[in-house]
Amino acid sequence: MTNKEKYLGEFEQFLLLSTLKLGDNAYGSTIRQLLADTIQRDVTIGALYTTLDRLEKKGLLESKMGEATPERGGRAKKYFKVTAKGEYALKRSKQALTSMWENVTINLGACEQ
Amino acid sequence: MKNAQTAIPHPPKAASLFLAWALPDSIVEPVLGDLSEEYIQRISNNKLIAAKTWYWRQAVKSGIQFMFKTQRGFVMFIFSIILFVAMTMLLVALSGVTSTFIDVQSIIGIFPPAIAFTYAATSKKSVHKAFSILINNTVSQSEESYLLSRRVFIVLGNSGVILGLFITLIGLTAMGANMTDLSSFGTAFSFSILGLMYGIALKMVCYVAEKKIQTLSETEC
Repeated sequence: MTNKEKYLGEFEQFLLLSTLKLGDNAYGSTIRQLLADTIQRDVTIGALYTTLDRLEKKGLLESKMGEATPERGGRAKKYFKVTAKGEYALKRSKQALTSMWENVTINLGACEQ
Repeated sequence: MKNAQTAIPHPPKAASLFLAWALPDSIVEPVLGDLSEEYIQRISNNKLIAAKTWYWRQAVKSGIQFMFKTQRGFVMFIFSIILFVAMTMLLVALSGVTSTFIDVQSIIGIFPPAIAFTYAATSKKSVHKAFSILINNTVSQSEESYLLSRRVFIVLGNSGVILGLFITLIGLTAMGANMTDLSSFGTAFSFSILGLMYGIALKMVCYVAEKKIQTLSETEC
């Protein structure tokens, strides 16, 4: 990844972090629920898969089809895993944000009001 | 085991069908599976109506998001038909005599026979296939299927125009026989012109459908 490449978007970071947190159990439904529980963001399944697909095409995620269960109507799960390139892109985005926050002081109390 | 499987509630079928139609083939299975799993979780909390509403909302929002990419051809076809109907209705409304343009006799004289001729000239399978290709144009078809489907719309459209001309001749004959009775003359004139108009409208829609299938065929074959 060259320095000229763009940083990850907010939602892309959320998805990669969710996938990392969920480990071997990262698939559409669990990622959606984690986002809803952690950051109270209720995303549609369509929006979720559009971004997951984009991340996979960029090589930041990889996927494999899993088992089918009766409660899923006999349909298989699609498991996602963050690639080394994905982890690097996350670290790079985090570093960029941390650098930007250095020497910045804002009155958090005012924001909460 | 069998009882346990039949006890599992199924998500709204129409919503699932819409989603399966709109989604790219590569994600149909995981997306429907994920939604089904979450739907059952929500139902287990004794919130059946809320679960159904949630499922429909997910299906409609996600389906609309994808259908403009996966089914763009069909969406544009429907849009063009709606535009045509809307423009026709606007012109009819502007003329100030809306009821004059609606003639049940002419409608019965054009549409059912045109559909019957199409079934007779092609086959039931070809007619169903033609509409299926038009609705779901992501599935690849053989060159022969495209050819037969195009023929369905050619026959349907041409039958509409020929029946329209036939109705016009009947109307002209009736007009000739009622030259002295203005009321009957007017009815016959209206029948004559509206029959032709409906026939041409059917031909126009079928022409677009036929060209749509031709484009699909040339893209794939």
